Amino acid sequence: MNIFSSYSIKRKLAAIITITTALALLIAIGVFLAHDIYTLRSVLKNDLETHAKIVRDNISTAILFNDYDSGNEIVSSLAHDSSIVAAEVLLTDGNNFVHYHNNEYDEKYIVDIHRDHISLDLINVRVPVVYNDKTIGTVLVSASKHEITERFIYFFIISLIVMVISLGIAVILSGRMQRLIYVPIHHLADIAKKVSEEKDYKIRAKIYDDDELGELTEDFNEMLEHIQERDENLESLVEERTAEVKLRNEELNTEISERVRTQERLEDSEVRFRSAFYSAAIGMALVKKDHSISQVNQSLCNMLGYKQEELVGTLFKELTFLDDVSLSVDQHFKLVQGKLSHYQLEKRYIHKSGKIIWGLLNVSSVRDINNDFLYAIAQVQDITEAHNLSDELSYQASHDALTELVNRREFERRLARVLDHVEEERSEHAILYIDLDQFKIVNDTCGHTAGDELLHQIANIMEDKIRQRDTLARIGGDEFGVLMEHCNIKQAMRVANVIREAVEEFRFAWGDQAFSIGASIGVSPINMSINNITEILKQADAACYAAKESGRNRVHLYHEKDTSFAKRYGDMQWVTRINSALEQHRFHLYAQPIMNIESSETTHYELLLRMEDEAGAIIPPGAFLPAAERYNLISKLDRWVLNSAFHWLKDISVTDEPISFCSINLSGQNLGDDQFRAYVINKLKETKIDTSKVCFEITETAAIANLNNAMEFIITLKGMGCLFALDDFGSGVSSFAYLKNLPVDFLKIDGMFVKDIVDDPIDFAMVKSINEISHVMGKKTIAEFVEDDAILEKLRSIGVDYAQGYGIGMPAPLEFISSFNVKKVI
Amino acid sequence: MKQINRKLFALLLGTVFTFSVCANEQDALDRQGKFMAVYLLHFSNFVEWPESSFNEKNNFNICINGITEINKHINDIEGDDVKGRKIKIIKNITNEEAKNCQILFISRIDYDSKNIKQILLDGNTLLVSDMEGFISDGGMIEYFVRDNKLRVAINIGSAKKNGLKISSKLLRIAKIVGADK
Repeated sequence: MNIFSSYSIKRKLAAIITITTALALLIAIGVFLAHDIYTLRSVLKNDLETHAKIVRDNISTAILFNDYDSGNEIVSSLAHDSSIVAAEVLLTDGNNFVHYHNNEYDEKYIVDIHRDHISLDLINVRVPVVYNDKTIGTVLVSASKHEITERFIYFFIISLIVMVISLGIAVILSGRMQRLIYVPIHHLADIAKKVSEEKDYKIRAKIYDDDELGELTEDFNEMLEHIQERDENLESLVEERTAEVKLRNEELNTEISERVRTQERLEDSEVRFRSAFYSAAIGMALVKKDHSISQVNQSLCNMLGYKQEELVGTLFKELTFLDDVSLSVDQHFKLVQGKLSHYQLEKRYIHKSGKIIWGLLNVSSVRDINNDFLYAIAQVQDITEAHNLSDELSYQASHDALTELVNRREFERRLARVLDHVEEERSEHAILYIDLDQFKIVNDTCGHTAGDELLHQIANIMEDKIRQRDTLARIGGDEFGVLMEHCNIKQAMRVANVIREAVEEFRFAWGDQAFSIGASIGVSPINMSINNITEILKQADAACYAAKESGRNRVHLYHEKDTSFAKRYGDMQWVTRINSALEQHRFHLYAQPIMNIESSETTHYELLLRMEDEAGAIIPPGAFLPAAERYNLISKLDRWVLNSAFHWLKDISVTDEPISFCSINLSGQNLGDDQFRAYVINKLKETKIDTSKVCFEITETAAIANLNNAMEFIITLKGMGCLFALDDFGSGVSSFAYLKNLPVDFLKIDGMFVKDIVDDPIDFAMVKSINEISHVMGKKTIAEFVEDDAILEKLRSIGVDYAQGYGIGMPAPLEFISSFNVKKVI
Repeated sequence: MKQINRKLFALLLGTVFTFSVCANEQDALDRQGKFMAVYLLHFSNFVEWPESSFNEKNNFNICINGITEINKHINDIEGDDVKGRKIKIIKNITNEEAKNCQILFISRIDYDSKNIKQILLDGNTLLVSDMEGFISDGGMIEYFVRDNKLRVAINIGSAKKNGLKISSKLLRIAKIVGADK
C-alpha cells in the first residue's frame, strides 16, 4: 500500500478499480474453467462406463462357452467411439480373454491399461462380469483425455481475450466517473488554501453534490461562518468587559459599607446571646471541637457542683458517667464532622460530690460560611428526679415489694422470652415451683408480720442457692418460682435439692419461738414440646403438688401422670371430697390401744381418723389432712371427731367397757380458735360425759408455735377435768424449757427413738432421760412405736408408764374395742 | 537301500514320460468331456422350461445316456443349485423315463435316431448330443468341434416345439439352425 501513498487521488482510484476488476475476472475465469474441466471429465467417464457395461452385459456367455470369436466381436464394437484407446476382458485367473486396440493411438497405451496406473493422458474404467452371483471376468476400457485438453486450451484463450477487453472498458469508464469524486475535493482544497493564505473568512466553497463530500463542504462553510462571527464578537466583548469592570467597582464600594453595618449588628446580637447564655435557667455550655468546654453558664455549674473556672477547659467526658462516655463522645464527633446538625441525648453526669445526675442534653453545632465547625452549643436539663421516679416505677411493676424478688408478672415475661427462643436455640431450660410447707402455721400462729419476715428470709436463703443467671420469683403467697435458663434436668434437680436442704436446715425464730420450715419443690423441664407458659407453670405446679402429696419437704420431677393426678386429687378436689365424705358419713374413728406397762392393762385408747373413699377404700390421714389444713377444713374435721368421740364415750359408759380414758388429736390450728374452744366446752356439757375420760393430744410443734393460745386452751379444759398429752415429743424443736410451762399430763415419746431402743444406746439414753425428766415434772410417759416384746421389756426396765404400737395393738374400728381386751385378758 | 531308491526313482520317471506322450490325445478328449459337462450346467441358466415339466421332488434332472467322456466329470456338478433346484444326475434311462429329465445327453456312441424321435413326442426335455447331424434329427443342441474348440449348434424350431425358450445370450454364441421352421 505504501507505493500508492504518494499518488494523487485520481491515480489511486484508477489503480483500485483496475486491480479489483482484474482480480474479479481472474477468479471468475478460474472457477468457470475448473468447473468445465470437471464436467467434461465426468461426462467422459460416464460414457466410458456405459460402454464398459454394454460389453460386460454381452460378454458373459462368450466367456462361459469359451467363444473368443463372439468375444472379439463384442469388444470390437467399441471402435465407433474414437476416444477409446483400448479395451480388454480379463478372466478371473488374470488371463486375457479378448482385447481391442484403436489403431489411431500408440501401442504403449495398452501397457498402461494392464498396469492399471493413473495416467495423465488416459481415463480407465473397470467393470466386473458377473454370472450367477460369481465374478467370471473384468472389462477394462481406456479412453484418451485428448479432447479435454483441447477444449481447455480453447476456453483459456477465449477467457484471456474477454478479460483484456473488460479491463479496457473498466479503465475508460472509471476515468470518467472518478471526476465525480475528485473534482469537489480539489475545489475544497483550493478554497482552504486560499482562506489560510488571505485570511479572508468571507470566501465560501461551492457544493457539487448532496453526498458526504457535499456535507463536508457545507460543514467547512459553516466553520468559516463561525470563525467570521467570532472575529466580530471578540471586538464587541472587549468593549463590554471594560464597562462591566467599572460597574463592579461601584458595587464593591457599596458592599464594604454594608459589611461595616452588619458587623455592628453582629456585635450587638452577641452581647444579647451572651447575656441570655449566662442567665439561662437551664445549664448551657459552648463546646470546642475537642469536646472541651470553652464557656459555661451558672446553671450548669450549679447542676454539676463546680465553679465556672473549674469547668472551662475540662473535657465533657470527664464529667460523664463511664457507661455513657462512648455514646456521648461518638455523637459529638459526628456533630463535628457534620454528619449531624444537632442531637439529643439522655445521659448521666457525675456531680462533684460523686452522685449521678441524669441530664437531657440538646446540642447543636455552629459553623462558619465555609461550613467549618466553630463550636457546639450544649443545653443540659437536670432530669434526675424524673428518671429515678420512672426507674422506681418499672422496678415496682416487676418486683415483689416484700421479698424484693421478681414478681409473677415479670417471671412470666421472662419465661415467655425463654420460650420464644427455645425452638431456635434448641436449648434446654428448667423451672422450679416451690411451695413452703409450714408457712401457714407461722402466719396463723404469729401473724402476718412474722409470715412476711419468714418469706423475706427464705427468699434470701434461696437466692444464695441458685445460679447467678437464674430468676427467682415470688409467684404467690408462699410460692416461689425459679427459672433456670440453659440448664438440664439433672442440674435443676441438684439445685432444687440444695434449696430444699437449705430451707430444711433453716430455723425461723420469732419472739422466743423457732420454727422449722419445709419446701416442696416441683421441677419441670422447658423444651420444644411445650409452647405456652400456662402449660409450663401448670406442669411445675403439678410436680410441686406431687411432691407435697408424697410427704412434703421433697423434690419431685414432673411426670405426665402428675397433671392428671393433680387434677383428680388436687387440693380443690380434696375440699369437695372431704365435704362429701362428711355428708355421706364416710369418716370413721379407729382406736389403737395404749397399755399400762406396769399392770399390763389396756384401758386406754387413742382415737384415729380414717376416711373411706368413694370406692370404699380406707385413706390414711396423711393424704387428706394437709389439704384440710390448707383449706380450713381442719376445724370442721376436728369438730366431727370431737362430736363422734364424745358420743361414743357416752354410749360406751352405759355398757361396762373398762375404759379409763381415750386420746383425741387436735390440730394446732384449732388451739387458738376461741369458737372451737367454745364448741368443745359446749359439747362436753351437752353429752355430759366424764371429762376425766377425755385426753386431748396436741403436737409439740403446734403447741410451741402457738404457745399462749395453747396454754389458754389447756388451762380452760383442764379446769373442766380433761387430760392433755403432748404428742411426738423429741422430734420437733423440743425443749424441756417449753415442757416446763406446758401443764400437760402425758408426754408421748416420739416413736423414732422408741423403735430402736433395743439396739441403739443413744436412743435408749434419750428415752430414759425424757422419761426421768417427765416423771420429775410429774407427767406420765407414753412410748409410741412399740413393735415387739423386746421393746416393751426395755421400756418396762426404765419405768416408762404406757406403751402404744403394733406390738400392743393395731388401730381398729371402734366396734372392736372389746376384742382388744378379750385378747389381752386371755 | 540307496540303490533301491534310485532304481525306483528311474522307473517312476520313465512311466511319467511314457504316459505324458500317450496322454496327449487322451488329454484333448478329456478336456472336451469336461467342457461338455460344464456346458450342460450352463444351458440350464439360458433355457426356460415350463413349470409343469418339473416333478414333485423338485429336482433338476440331468440325464446321461451311453458311454461318454462326460461321465468322468458330470458327477462334479451333482447337487449344484439351478434356479432354486438341486441338480440330480441320472444315467442310462429308458425312453419312457426321458420325460422326467430336464436335460438329456445322448452319447454319439449309443446313438439311435429312432429313440430320439420317440422321446421328442413326449415331454419338455432338452436333448443334447455330440452326434454329428443330431440337430437334423430333431435334437435341440449339438456339440461340434471347430478350430480345435468345442462349439454349440442350436435348433430353435425343435426347442420351441417342445416348449423350451432359449435365451438370446446363448443364441449369440451358437450356430443357429431351423430358425424359420
